[in-house]
Amino acid sequence: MNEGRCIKCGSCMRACPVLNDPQGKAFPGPRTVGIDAPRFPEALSIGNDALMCTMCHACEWACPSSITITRSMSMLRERLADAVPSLPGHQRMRENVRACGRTVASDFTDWRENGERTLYFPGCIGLGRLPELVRSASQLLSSMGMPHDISPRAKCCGSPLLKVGAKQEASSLQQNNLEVFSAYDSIITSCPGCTYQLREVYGIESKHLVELLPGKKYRSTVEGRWALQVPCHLKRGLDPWAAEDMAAVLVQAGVDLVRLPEEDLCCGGGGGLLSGFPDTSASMARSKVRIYREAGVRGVITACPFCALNLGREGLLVLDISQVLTVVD
Amino acid sequence: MRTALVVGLGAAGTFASICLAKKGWKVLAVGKGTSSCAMSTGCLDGSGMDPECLRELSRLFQASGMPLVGGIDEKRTGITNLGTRYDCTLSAPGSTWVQGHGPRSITVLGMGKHPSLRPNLVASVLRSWGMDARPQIVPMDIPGESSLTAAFRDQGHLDRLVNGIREAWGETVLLPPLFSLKDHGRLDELERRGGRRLLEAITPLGTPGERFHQVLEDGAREAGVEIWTGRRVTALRTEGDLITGADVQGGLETRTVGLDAVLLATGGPLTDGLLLHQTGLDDPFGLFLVKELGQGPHDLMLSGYAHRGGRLLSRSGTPMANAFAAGDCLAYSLRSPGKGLGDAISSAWGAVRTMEVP
Repeated sequence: MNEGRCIKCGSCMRACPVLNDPQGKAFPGPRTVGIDAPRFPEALSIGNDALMCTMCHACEWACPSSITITRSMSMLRERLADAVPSLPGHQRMRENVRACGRTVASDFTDWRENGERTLYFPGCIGLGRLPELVRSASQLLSSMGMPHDISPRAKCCGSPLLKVGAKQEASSLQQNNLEVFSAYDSIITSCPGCTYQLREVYGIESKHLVELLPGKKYRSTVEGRWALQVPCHLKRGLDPWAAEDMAAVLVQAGVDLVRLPEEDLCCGGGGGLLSGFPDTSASMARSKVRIYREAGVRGVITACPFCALNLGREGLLVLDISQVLTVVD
Repeated sequence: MRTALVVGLGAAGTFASICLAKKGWKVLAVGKGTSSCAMSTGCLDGSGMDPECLRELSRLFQASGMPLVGGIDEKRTGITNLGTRYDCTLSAPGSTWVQGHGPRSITVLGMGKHPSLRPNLVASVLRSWGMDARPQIVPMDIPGESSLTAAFRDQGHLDRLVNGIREAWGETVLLPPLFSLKDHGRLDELERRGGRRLLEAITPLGTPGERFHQVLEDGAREAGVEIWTGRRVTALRTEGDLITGADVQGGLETRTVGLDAVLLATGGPLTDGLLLHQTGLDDPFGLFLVKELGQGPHDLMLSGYAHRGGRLLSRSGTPMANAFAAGDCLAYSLRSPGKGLGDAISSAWGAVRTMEVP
């Protein structure tokens, strides 16, 4: 990789939302985990605390030497998996995948297999925890003129498994999913984590719903002032235009939107932090909720099931972008 | 409304963006990565600065709740995190004193084993330049890589620190930087509760630079500047001596924007601004003339874009109609160590005035 370009400026550490949280001080930090550990194997003794990263890419964006720190950390996690015992939350997740092919069990029933050319791939958190998000995203896609299937045969994308170093399990899921995908021309997601996995690991051209929104007219279905919660994997991982595009679509639709400097700060829900270190994850979410409350907004609009879940647990009203838009003919 | 594209989100680019927006331009500012300004000490040498420019800069700091202290020619001194002496004319409050009015006796306070300030080392360096200094460590458990600004949002840590300050010897206590811009007011609170004068160690690659950058970024947002982070201007489109548009790349997608003027504030070769080409520097856009100053590779830091009356020159040496530059990417023969931040601000001010001339 490119860790050798490190100039030891510490920008990555100052940008890290975990290190900046009072509950995050056990995390050795992006420089130790993403830059030093991959080069110096003895640093692997850092143990499970190395997993206290949300994979939010903030360190990567801050790095003046453009080191792909997040990628290095993913690779380190594979090696760590054999060296340290698995955390209870991560174990549960793996058991769920073994039992039902997804990280959380789902009683979703609105499957659609009509032989369409497009597959909507909602992901485990949407199907298991936020079925109303899946339904609204599906409805919005249909009204945008994109008929699609939602297939029960498509399983977990494997991203959460790679985050805990379970490479074998992730690759057998990938094999299964690629077989399902082979019947379709395009794959659409509503979870930035899945989008990242499909694009960067599978190497296929999937699109997140947000990337399909520009160019059409919408009407807002919500009242009051709202702020954005910009998903990390989407903006910093894949599409730096995501925040501006989301804002432009929402403002055009008539949403009273306030742009906060902290809108793209990580909520603490990603990278296996929510399942592995729930206290740290909740503390990060609480800090964000405090910021939104101080700004006096009714709630936030996001495009990530993990953000919706983690901030929602702290009592904030969180809606997916598909839940606030209808297409204007 | 005229549109200006500012390339670079460091001190020069952000300050110029604010000034342009206040003069009625629609400003789009594009850049990526942490700027040198955010890694600086947050102190500056303002000698030679236009008083009107300093007033504008001071207004921004005033509005942020962390007003600048000092002036254009006020000689001020502080202590670095290594115990060495640091001279400047402008700084954050609580980190420098007017020359001749420094502390005579000082306690250097370390935060447990945190490497931000090493009391024994710093005290012995201070003694070597004639100051009566003693080391002291406040017992607390803050891991070396974790952020002090996060740790001191915790009341328990703060209370322990207050006790440490009360026990300290001498009139003044030297501390590492503990507070972000938002929490900077807590330094006064700490001083009141501890009953000692507090001095923040001048620390590069840390909170002070980050605060300086934050003041500028907040000011830009306030002034209505559209900021595109994580993106890079890959090409400028021209018609004769006029720049008409720019290609902005972010992720896999490149978008083209139209513009009435462009201001380059991309920094020197160290910050990924100018290209290193063989033994000299080159313009990454392939449009502008780069001037080599001095002799030999060590003088590269003085080299940069050539200009006439503030306008960049084409490769053939003729002035461009609407291309300007500020900060470290300009050729500048008078640059000296420690003056970068002051120069960046001054040259941004100068560039904006040039852009206002038709």
